[in-house]
Amino acid sequence: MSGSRSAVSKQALGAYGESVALRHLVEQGMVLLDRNWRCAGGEIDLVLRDGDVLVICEVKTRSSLACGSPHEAVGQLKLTRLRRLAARWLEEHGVRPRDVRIDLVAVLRPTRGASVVEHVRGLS
Amino acid sequence: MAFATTRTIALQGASGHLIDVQADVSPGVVGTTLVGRPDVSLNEARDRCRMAVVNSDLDWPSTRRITILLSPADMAKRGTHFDLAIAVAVLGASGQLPAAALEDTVFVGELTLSGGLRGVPGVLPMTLAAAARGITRVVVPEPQASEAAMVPGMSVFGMRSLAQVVAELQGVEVPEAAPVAPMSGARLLSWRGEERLGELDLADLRGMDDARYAVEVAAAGGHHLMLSGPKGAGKTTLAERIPGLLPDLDPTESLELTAIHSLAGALEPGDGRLTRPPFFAPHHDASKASLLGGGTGRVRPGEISRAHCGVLFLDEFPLFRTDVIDGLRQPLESGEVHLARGGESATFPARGMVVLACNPCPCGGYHAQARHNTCDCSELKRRVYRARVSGPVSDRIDILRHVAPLSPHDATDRFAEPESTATVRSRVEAARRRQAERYAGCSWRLNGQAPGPLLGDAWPLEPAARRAVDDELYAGRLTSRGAVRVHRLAWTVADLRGVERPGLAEADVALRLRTGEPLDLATLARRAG
Repeated sequence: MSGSRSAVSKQALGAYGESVALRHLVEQGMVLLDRNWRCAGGEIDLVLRDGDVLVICEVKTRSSLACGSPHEAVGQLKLTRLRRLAARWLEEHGVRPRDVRIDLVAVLRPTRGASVVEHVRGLS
Repeated sequence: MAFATTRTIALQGASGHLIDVQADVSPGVVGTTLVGRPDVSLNEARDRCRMAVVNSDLDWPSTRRITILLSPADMAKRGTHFDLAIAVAVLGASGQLPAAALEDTVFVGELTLSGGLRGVPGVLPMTLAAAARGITRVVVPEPQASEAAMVPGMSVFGMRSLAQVVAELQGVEVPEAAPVAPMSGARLLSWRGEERLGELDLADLRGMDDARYAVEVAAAGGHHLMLSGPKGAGKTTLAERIPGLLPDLDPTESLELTAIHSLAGALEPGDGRLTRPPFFAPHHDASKASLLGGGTGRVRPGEISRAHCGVLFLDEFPLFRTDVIDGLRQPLESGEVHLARGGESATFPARGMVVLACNPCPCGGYHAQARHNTCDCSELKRRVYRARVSGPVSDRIDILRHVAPLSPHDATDRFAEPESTATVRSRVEAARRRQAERYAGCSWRLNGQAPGPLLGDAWPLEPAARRAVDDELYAGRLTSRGAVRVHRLAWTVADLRGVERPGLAEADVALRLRTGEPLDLATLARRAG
């Protein structure tokens, strides 16, 4: 990966992407339940409620397409981990939603120009 | 709805199936899945297509989940010619091509990473299959456009690259593209005498009247022929001159033959339609797969099918492998080869003349008369050798002919003027015209292919001739299969002589041709005169 970028700015880019994503989802009527929830198995970026469906949301942010699109960073392995994390979150909070969905928000923040946000509902 | 359908053809043996290539582009975990029983080379199409699209300055939907289905999904598919249909379907599904442009069109071609369109084997049979299913447009690699254009009523688009195909479908100006290397390699070998067969003429041969006549009958009626005789008697020399006696192929035959050669991957670009009857003389080491068809992976037609409408010459026939000899039975009888495999089966036409040549013994020196006999084979060796010649295969051969060594008289007869290929060919052509008139509207064209039972009812012999053949049958000198062969031969003899219906004279000649007895040609000529 890019060696020139410091860890701090990488985190900063991630945090920026997450806030852009959250604003985008809330605008669509979703309600934030949890943010950057961590456990031994990993981290969930955003946990939201969309009607009576629980949404586990992964946010991927990129500043260029040099290493592929943000979408391509979420493969089957990551999806499996998110499912396991979702189960852990539900267990810990004792919530029984009608359905659970895993979403992806891809944020592209080019060096100049506006950010591009895309929301992919229901990864499978 | 991000969804599009294109069509291509999957070949299974000699039959083509219309395949729907459906692409769905929707949000989800990014990736490309190809379903519908693709083999390894076809599964690699995902990567070829992706790079070809990207390098053609088009958009591959890399942030979407792409599902490609090849339906019917239960049929195993192989080959690389699906690439173009897949790429176009993905472009259609991602909204880069109008759906209407994809209708009633079959796409065939392999893509290179740079977006070029490479040739694939079997374009002609694929186009034929498409036409049979009511498709009116095919898009094929440019080097093979001439092959596809042989199919009447088909509008053919020969393209060099994916970018050209897309422009054509969008209805915009087609960009220039560099020509793509043709599928088959350049010929590395060429040698003097390569065109040797074209220069052979029957006039080069002295004597051998019986054998010459047998060859003429075989060529006229499409009969299988066995030439036996001691080494150096001229069996090969004679057999090589048979294709020269055959007329040019008619349009149907030519299309059939070209399609077979295309399936075998043996059609060079620019060859065009094959119009001359083929001649194949495989070495006696040939395997069953090479001679009858088969092979690993795709089932390919063998030499016997490539010699469809022409001549397959098996020199030193008894030296061929036993499984090859046994495998010849079915095509000799039915004019087609049926190959069955675990997963797929294929039927290829094989209506060529089969000409066999054999020696009287393994060393070739045997002669019935002791003073000519130079054979030093053991009796056992001779018997094993002969057992291969006789039996089921020779029963399916119409004409048996012994080629005797040239007598000193004939060899030095400076006044004899042997007939030329052109003279004999004109007689063969006349006889074939008579057969074409008689069998108009039938599925066969020649006496040698006419079905036995029908022949007896619709085109009987004169009663006296019929009785003569029946007598031989009752006496056990002829099998019932043999009787049918004699019947066919009698018709060919009659066609050659311009006789309306075969009589006793024709039946007599036919019987002699069949059993290998010497012909009484002088008598025949006198009666005809």
